[in-house]
Amino acid sequence: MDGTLFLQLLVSGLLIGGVYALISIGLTLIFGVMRIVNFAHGEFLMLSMFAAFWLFHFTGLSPYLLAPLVILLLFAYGVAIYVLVIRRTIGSPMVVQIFATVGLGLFMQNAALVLWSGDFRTIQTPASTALLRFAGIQVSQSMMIASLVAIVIALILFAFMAWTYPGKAIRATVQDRVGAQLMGVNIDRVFMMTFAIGSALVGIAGALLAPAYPIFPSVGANFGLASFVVVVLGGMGSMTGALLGGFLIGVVETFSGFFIDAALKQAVYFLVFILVLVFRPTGLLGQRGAEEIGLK
Amino acid sequence: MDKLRNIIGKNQAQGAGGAGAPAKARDLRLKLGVLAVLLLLPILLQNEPYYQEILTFVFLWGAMSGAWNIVGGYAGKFSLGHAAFFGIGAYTSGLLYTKLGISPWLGMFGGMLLSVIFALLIGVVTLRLKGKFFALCTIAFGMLVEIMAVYLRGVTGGSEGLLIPYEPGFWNMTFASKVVWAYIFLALMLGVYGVSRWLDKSALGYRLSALREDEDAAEALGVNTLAGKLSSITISAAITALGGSLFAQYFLWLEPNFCVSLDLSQQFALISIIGGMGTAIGPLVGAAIITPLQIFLRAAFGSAASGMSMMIYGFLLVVVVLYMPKGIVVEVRDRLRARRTKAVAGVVEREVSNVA
Repeated sequence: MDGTLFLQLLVSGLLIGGVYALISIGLTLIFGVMRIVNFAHGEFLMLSMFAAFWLFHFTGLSPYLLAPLVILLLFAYGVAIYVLVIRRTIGSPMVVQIFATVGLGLFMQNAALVLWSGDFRTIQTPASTALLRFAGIQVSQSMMIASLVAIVIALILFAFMAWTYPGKAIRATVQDRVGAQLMGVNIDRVFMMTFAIGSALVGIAGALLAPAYPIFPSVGANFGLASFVVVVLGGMGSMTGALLGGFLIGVVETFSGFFIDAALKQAVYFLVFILVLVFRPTGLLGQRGAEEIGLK
Repeated sequence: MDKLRNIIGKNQAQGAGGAGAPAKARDLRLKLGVLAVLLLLPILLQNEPYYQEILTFVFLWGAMSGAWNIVGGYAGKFSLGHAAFFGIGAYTSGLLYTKLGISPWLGMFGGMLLSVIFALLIGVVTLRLKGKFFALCTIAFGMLVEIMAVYLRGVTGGSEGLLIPYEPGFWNMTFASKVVWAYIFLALMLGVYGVSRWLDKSALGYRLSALREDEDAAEALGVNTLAGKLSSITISAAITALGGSLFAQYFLWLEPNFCVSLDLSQQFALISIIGGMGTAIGPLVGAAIITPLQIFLRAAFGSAASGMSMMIYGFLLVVVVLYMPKGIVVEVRDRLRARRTKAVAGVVEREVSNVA
C-alpha cells in the first residue's frame, strides 16, 4: 500500500477521532465527577445540532459565529435537566441511575421526531464542504476545526480544574464528597455546575458538527454509542483518556472500514469496547475509581 | 393484664400473621378469576381484530419483559441488549424454516440453544462488571448482533428484512386464525409467570436476590454468584429466544431495525420497570398498561407523529423511576399493606383503651 493512501487514512481517522473526542469530553467529565453515566448523551448532541440548525435557519449567520449561543442554550438545558432529573438520581439505587437517563434519551429523541420530523436537514455553507489539501491528501475543513477545538477544550478544562476555585471544588468533591462538604463546598452546586458544563461541552460539539453532518432526530444514537466506547477505552473520568480514546477509535474505525468492510467499522469498535470492558474495565488511563479527575 | 394479652393475641391472629388463611383464599380466588378472564378474552374478542391484536401483543411483551425481569429484576443485572436474544431466536427458526424447510416447532429449539450459548458467553465475559458497565456491555452486544443481521444480507435479507411465507398449517406454525396466536402468547406469558413464581420461592431465587442486594456480601457468605448470574441470564435468554421464534411466525416479517434494535431492548426493560421489577406480576401489569397505550397512541396520531408513543414511554420511565422506583405494582401493594397495618393497629388501640 502506498504512503499517500496510508497517510490519508491516518489523517481521516485522526480527524474523525477528534470529533469523537470532542463529543466525549462532556460525558467523561460528568461521569468522573458525579459517577453518573448519561445514557442520553447522544441526544444532548442531537439537541445541540438542532439548536445550531435553527439558529442558522433564522439568522443566516455562520454556524461558527452562532456556536457561543448554542453553548449557552445547552448550559441552561443542563441546569434544567439537573434540577428536574439528575439531582434525584444521585445516591439512588442503580436502576434509577441508569434508567432515568435512558428514559430521558428516549423522550428527547422522540420529542425531536414529533416536533421536527425525521427529515435530514443540512446547513449549507461554503465552510461545510471546504477541503484543505496538503502533501497530496485532502482534509475536511469543518472536521479539522472540530478536532483542533477538542484539543483546545481539553487544555482549557485542565487549566480550569487546576487553577480556578470552582475547579478545585470539583476535584475536592471527586476525592471525598463528605470531606469537601465539611470544608464548605456546596456539593449540589458542584454537581449542577458539572452537569451544566458537561452539557455545554456537548453544545460545542453539536455546533461544530452541525455544518459537517446531516441533522435528524436519531443522529445522536451512533455518536452517543461511539462516545461511550471512547470514554470507556480512555478510562471513565479521564480527560486525556477521552482525547486518546477518541483518536484511537477514529483511526481504528477508518482503517477497519477500509480494509475489512465499511459496513463493519462499527462492529469492530464495539468489539474493542467489549474487550476493554472485560480485560481492562478502567480503560487505558483510568484508575480504579478514577480519582484524579482532570489532572491526568 | 391477661385479658389485654388475649385481645392483642387475637388481633394479631386476625391481622398480620393469622390473616394468612382467608387472605390466601381470597388471593387464590382473585387469581383464578383473572385467569378465567384471560382465557375467555381471546374468544370474546375474535371479531374485533384491533383489540385482538392489542391483547396478543400485551401477552407477548408481557412475556418478554417477564423474561428480562428474571435477569434484570431478580438478579439486578440491567441488560440493554435483550433484543439480541429475541432476534437470534426469530432469525434462527425463521431462517431454518424459509431456507431449509425445518418446522419452526423444531427451529425454535435451535434459536434457544444459540441464545443460551451467547448468554453464557456474555455471562462469563461480563462477570466482573457491575451496574452501568454491565448495561454498557450489553448495549454493545446488542449492537453487534444488529450490525451482523444487517451485514449478512445474503442470509438474513439485510435491512430489507426476511419475509416468511404464509402457508397455514400446524407443522409450519402458521395459523390463519389470530385466536390461536393469542392463546400461544398467553401460554408463553403464563409460563414466564410460573418461572418467576418459582424463583420467588426457590433457592436460586434467594441466591439471585442476595446477589442483587450486595454481590460482594453474597460472595463472602458463600453464595455462588457466578452460578446465579449464569443461570438467570441463560433462563432469560432462552425464553426471550423462544418469544422471538414465535413472533417470527406470527408476524412473518423480520427486520433488524425492529427485532434486534436497541429500542426493543429498552422496551423490554421499561415495561418491567414501570410495572414492578423483581416481582412475577410486575412485567405483566406493565405490559397491560404500556402496550395498549402504545397501540392507541399510534392509531390516534398516525405516522404524522410516529415518535409520540416512544416519547410518552420515555417520559413515563423517567417519572416512574424517580418517583416510584419500585414500579407501580410494588408501590400500590406497599400502600395497601400500610393501610391494612394501620387499620389493625387502630383496632388494637381501641380494644386496649376499652380494657383500660
